[in-house]
Amino acid sequence: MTNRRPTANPMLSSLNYGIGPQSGQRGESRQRNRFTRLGFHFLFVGAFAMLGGSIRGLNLLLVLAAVTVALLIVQWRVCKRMCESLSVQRRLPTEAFAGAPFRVRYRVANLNWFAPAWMMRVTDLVTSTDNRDSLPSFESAIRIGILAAGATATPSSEIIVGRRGRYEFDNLSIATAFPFALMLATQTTDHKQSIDVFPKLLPLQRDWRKRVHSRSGGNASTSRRSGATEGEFYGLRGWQSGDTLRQIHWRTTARLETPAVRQFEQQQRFDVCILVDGWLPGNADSAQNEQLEFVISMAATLAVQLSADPVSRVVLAVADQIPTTRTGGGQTGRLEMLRLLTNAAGTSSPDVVGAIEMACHSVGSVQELLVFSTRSQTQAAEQTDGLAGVLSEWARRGGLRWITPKDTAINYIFALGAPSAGSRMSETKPGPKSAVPTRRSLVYGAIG
Amino acid sequence: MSRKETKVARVGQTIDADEVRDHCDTSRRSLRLNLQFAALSCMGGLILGNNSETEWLPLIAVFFAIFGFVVVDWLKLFSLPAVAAYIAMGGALLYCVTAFSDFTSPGSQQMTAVATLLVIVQAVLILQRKTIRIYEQLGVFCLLELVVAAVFNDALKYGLLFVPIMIVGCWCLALLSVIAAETGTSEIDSGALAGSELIRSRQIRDTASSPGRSNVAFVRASRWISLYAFWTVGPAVVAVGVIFFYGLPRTADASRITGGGNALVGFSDEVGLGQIGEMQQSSEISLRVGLTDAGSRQEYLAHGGIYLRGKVLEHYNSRTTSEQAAGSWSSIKPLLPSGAALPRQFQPSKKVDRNFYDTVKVAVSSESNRSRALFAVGPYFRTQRSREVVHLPSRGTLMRRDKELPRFGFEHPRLTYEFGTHAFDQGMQTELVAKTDGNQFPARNQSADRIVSFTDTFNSLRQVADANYRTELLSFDATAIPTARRLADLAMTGMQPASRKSYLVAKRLEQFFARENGFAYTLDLSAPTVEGVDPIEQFLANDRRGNCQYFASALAMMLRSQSIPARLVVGYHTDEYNHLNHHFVARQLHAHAWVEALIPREDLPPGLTVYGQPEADEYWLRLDATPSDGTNVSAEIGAIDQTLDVFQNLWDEYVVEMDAARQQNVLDQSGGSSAIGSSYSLMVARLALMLDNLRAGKLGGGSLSGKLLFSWPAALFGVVLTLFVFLCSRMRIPTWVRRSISSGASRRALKPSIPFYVDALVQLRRLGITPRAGQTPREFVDSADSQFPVEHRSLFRRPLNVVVDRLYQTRYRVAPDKTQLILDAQAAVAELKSLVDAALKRG
Repeated sequence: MTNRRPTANPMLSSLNYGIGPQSGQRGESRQRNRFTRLGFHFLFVGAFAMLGGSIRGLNLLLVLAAVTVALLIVQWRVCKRMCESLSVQRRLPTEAFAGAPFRVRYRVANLNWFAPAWMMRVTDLVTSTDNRDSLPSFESAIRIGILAAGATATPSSEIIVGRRGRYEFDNLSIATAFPFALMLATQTTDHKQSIDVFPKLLPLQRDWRKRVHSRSGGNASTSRRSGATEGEFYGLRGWQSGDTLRQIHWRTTARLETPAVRQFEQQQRFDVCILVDGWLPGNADSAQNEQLEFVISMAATLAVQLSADPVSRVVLAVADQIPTTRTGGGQTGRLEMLRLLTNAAGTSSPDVVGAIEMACHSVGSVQELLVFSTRSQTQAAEQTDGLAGVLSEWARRGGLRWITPKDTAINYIFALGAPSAGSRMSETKPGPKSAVPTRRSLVYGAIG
Repeated sequence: MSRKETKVARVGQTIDADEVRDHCDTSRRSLRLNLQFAALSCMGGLILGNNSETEWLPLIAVFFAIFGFVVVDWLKLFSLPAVAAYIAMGGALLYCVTAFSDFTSPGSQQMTAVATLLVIVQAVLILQRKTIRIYEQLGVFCLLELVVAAVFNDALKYGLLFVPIMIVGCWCLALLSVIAAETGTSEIDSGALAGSELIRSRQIRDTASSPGRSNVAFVRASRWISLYAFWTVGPAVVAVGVIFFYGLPRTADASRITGGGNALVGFSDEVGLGQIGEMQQSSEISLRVGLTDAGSRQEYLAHGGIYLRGKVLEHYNSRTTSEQAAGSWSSIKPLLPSGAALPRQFQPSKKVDRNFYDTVKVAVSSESNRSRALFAVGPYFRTQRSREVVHLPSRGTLMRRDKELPRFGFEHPRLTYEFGTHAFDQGMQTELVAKTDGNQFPARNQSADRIVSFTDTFNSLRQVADANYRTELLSFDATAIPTARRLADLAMTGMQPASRKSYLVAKRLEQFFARENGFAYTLDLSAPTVEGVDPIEQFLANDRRGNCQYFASALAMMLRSQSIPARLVVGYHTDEYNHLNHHFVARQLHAHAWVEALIPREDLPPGLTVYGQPEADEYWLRLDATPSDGTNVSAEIGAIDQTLDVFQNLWDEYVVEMDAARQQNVLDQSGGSSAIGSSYSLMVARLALMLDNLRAGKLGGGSLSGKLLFSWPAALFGVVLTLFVFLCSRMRIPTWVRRSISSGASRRALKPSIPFYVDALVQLRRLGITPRAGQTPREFVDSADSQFPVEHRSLFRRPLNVVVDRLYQTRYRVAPDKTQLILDAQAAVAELKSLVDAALKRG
C-alpha cells in the first residue's frame, strides 16, 4: 500500500522551507500503510472468529469478527486519509555549533478542509556524512497532538550535536496510528538537506584580547584607536547598485550630474593568522582525537571573535593533508572559516609550512601568527622540515603564539570552567584558575 | 548505553516548567492507561464466568486487576520480573493443559481450561511493569477471552458486557495511538512508556534532542483523544460492524455450542418425582410464548395463564427396596415414535360454532433442550411455520423433527416454532381435548389392494396398542399405594352412585387436594423417606406436603383406583406476561405437572359442548390438583425484568439466532433493489454450497481431505501455506526479478508512425517476428534475418533492406520527393507479403 504524490503545495512553496544555502532537493513523497504488531494480532483473531463463526454458525463469533473488521477498516481509512492530507517540510538553521542546541523547524499543514488530524509524529533521520568515524544515525522527532482542518503548525525540534561535522537530514516522514494503533500510515518525503555543525565554541575570558595579542601597536591597534578605516583612496567611479551612500563623492556627483563614489584600496596587511596544526599520531587514541577537537574549537572560537571585529583582519589556515586558507571578514568569510574548521581532519603529516606559505601568499604579510596544535612547537619543528625557519620571522618580531591544550596560558583566554556559550559568545568573568582541560570536560569529542 | 554516553546525552539540557508539566502529564496518562487496561482485564474475566465451571475466574481477574493496578502501577511497590512471569505462565500452561488429556469427556472441559489459562496469564501480565508490549498482550488476551466466551456463552450477559468492553477497549487503543505518536514504532518495539526520556536516551552517543514547546499542545490534545475517538470514530465502527454482521452471508444455521448448564431438562422419557421441584429452583427463561389472534393478527390475551404440554407420562415406577425410596414416571413408546406432521386445522360443520372458540396462532421460542420434547397447547393444528415440529397424535405432544443430537453438542439448539390452536375461548383455555384416533393411517386412495391390506394391518395394530395403552392408564398398584384408593373412596363419600360419572368423580378428586384436607404445597424436598414405602403413599398417608409432581401423581393414582384412565403431563403453566414484548414467559420455576383423565363423552355434564375440535367418544380432561399457591408462582414481574426480557429477546432474535432467513428479513426490511437482493442470494447460495462441502469434509471436491471436518494434512498444508505467504510478503524481490519485470514491461515496442514500416511489421508478425523495445529498425531487420530459414534469408533480406532504407530516408533525410521513396517501400512490402504468404503456405 504505497503511493506517490508530489509535494507541490502552493501555500507552502512561497515559504523558505527547504530553500537556503544548505538546502537539498525535495523529492516525491511516498505513503505506506502497514499493520502494527497489534494490528496483525487483531487481523488474525478477527479472521479466526470470522471463519469459526461462519463454519459453525456461531453468531457471537461473527459479532466479534464484525467489530474487529470494523476497527481495522476504520483504522485503515482514517489514518490513510489523514496521512494523505498532511504535508510536512523542514527548515534547517543557517549555522549550528557542536554542543549547542540548534533548532530545526518544521511546517506541517493539514490540507483537508473538513477533518482535523490527530496524533502525528514527524521524524527525521540524521546521518553524519563526513566519514571521519562511524557515528550512527539518530532520529529527530517531534509530535503533534492535533492539527485542525486546513491549519498549519510550525513545531520545532532542538537538537544538540556533540561533534562537529556534516550531517544530512533525510527521510522526512510523518506518521500517525490514530485512532486505534492497529495500523501505521507513514508519509515519507525524499527531502535531503545537510547542515555543517561547526566546532564547539568555547567561552572566553573577559580580557582574552590582551592575552591573544602579543604586543601593542601595529596597524590593528592604530585602527582601533582611530576607528574604522576603509583604506587608502584609490579613485572615483560611477555609482552602482549596492554602493553605500557614505561613499558618494558629492562634489564630483554635482559636477558630473551623475552619482560617483569613492574607491579605496584595502590594505593587504592582515593582523592575525590563525593556523590549525592538524597533527595526530598515526594510531591516535580517543584522548588525542579529543585534543585535536579541542584545538579546533579554540581556533574556531578565536576566528569567530576576531572576524566579528571590523578592524581585525584574520586569515585562517588549516594544515592537514591539503593545506587550505580562508580569510575572515563579514558573514560570508566567517562561515567559510567555520566550514573549513568543520571539515578539518587530523593527519600524521600535516603540511604546516605549506599552510603558512599559502596564507602569506593569499593575503600578504601577517603581523601575528596564532598556531593551535596538539603538539609542542619543538616537537613540530623536529617533525617538520623548514618549519623553524618559517616561524623564525614571527618569532623574531614577537608575533608568534604556539598554543597547545596543555598550555596553561589557555586558561587566561578561555573560561573553560564556564558552560558552553553556544553560538553566541559571551565574555565571562575570569573565574578561579581552572585546570588544564581534562577528558571529563572534553565531552564533545567522544569518539569510539 | 554507557555511563559516559548518558552524560553526553544530557549535555546542555535544562528542565524547564514545560518539561516538568509534560512529565506530570505523561505519568498521569500512563496511570490512566493502566487503569483502563486493568478495567479491560477485569471485564474480560467477568465475561468468562458464565457457568459453574468458570464462575471463579472473574474473582481471579478482578482481584489481580485491582491488586496489579494499586500495587504495581499506582504505588509502584512491586512488579513481577520478566523471568518470574515466564515461569508463572509456564506453570499455568502445565496446569491447564492437563484438562486436554481426556478428550473423550463431554462438556466444556477443554474450553474451561483455555479460559483458565487466559485469565491466569492475564493476571501474570497485570503484575508486570507495564510496557507497550504488555499493553498489547493484555488487549489481545481480552480479545481471546471474548472469543472463548462467545463459544460457550450466548446469554444476554455476554452482550451486556460486550458493549463496555468495546468502549474501554477502544479507549485503550486510542491511548496506544498516543503513545505511538509519542515514542514512534521503534520505541513500541523497545517497550518503554516514558516517551520523552526514551527519546533522549535513544539519542545515542553524543547527540540529544528535545521536542520543544509543542509538547504542551500534544499533551493537551492527548487528553481529549479518547473522547474524540469515541464520538467520531465510534459511530463509524458501529456502522461498519453492523453492516458487516448483517451483510455477511449466512451459510449455516445459527447454532449454539452449549454446555453452560442452561439447557432444559426434565422432559425426557422418564421423570423422577423430585425433578420438577429441582427445576423450579431456577428462574431461567425456558420459553417465550406469543399468542396472536389469527383473524385480527393482534395479540391475544389469555386469562388465568396457559398450560403448555411437554411430555405425557403413563407408567409409574416405584422403587421401595433400597434405602432411598424413589418413584418416577415414564412414557410408553407410541406406535409411531417418530411422530407425524401436525394435523390440519379443524373446520366445524356449522359456521356458527366458530363463535364459541377463538383461532389463535401460538409462536413458541424454546431454549435449548436435552430432549426432543416441545411444548404445545392442545388441540393444535399446523401453520406455515410448523415444519420443524412433529407431533405424537395419541399423546397430544410436539417433538422436534430432527432425531439426533447435534454432532458437537449435547443439547438440541434453541428453536422457534408456531402452531395454531382452538383451545381458547374469550381468553380461557379449554380443559377438554378430544381424544383423536392416534396414528390413523390415511384411508384415501385405497384402490390398490396392497395399500388396503397394509391399512388393515396397521389399524389392527393400532387397536391392540390402544388397548394396551388403556390398560397402562389404569395400572394401579393397590398394595403399594393403598391410601390412594382409601382417600378416593373417602372423597367420593356423599356422592350418589348415579352421579358417580367419571367427570364428576375426577373433579371431586381434584378438589380433594385442598388445604382443608391438610395438603400443602412445598418445594422443600428434604423430608426423609421411609424404607419400603412408596413415595406417593408416603405423600398421601403421612406428609401431605410436596410439589406439583406429588399432587399430580397422587391424583392419577386415585383416579386409576376408581377405574378412570389417567396420565401425568409435564410442561409449563405460566401466567407471567411481558407487556412490552407481548408474550408469555415460561421460566424453569413455571415447570408443572398435572393430570389428564380420559372421560367418555356421555359422562360430560349435560349441555357441555366442546367446540373447535372434532367430536370424539372420549375427551382428555385436564385436572390440576396442585394448590393455587403452587401453580400461581408469579402473577406480575417487575419493569426491570420485563425490560431485560425484551433485551434478551432482541439479543436472541437479532444476534444469537441470526441466520439466513432472518438475515433475509432484515435485508428486506432495510430495502434495496430486487436485482441486488437476487444476486446477493445467489452469492450466499454458492458460499453455502462451498461451506457445506467443507463441513462435509469435501475439501476441494472431496479430493483434499477425508470425511472428517478436521484433517491433519489440510491443517499442516494451511500452516505451511500461511508461512510461505507471510515470508513471501516480507521478502524483498530480488534485483534480477525486478529488472526482468521492468524489462518485460518495456519489451513491448511502441507502434511506429511510418505506414509502410507498419505494414512490414504486420507481415513479419504473421511469422512471429516482432521488434523489441529499444531496437532500431536496422537492428530489428538484422535480428529478424537470423530467424528466417537459411534457404530463404536472401529472399527476405532484399525487401526488408529496401523498407528500412526508405524508412531512414523518409524519416531523417531531406529528400526532394518522398513519394517515390514511399512507392518503393510499398512495393517492397508487397513483395514481403507474398514471401510471407508463401512461407505460411509451406508451413
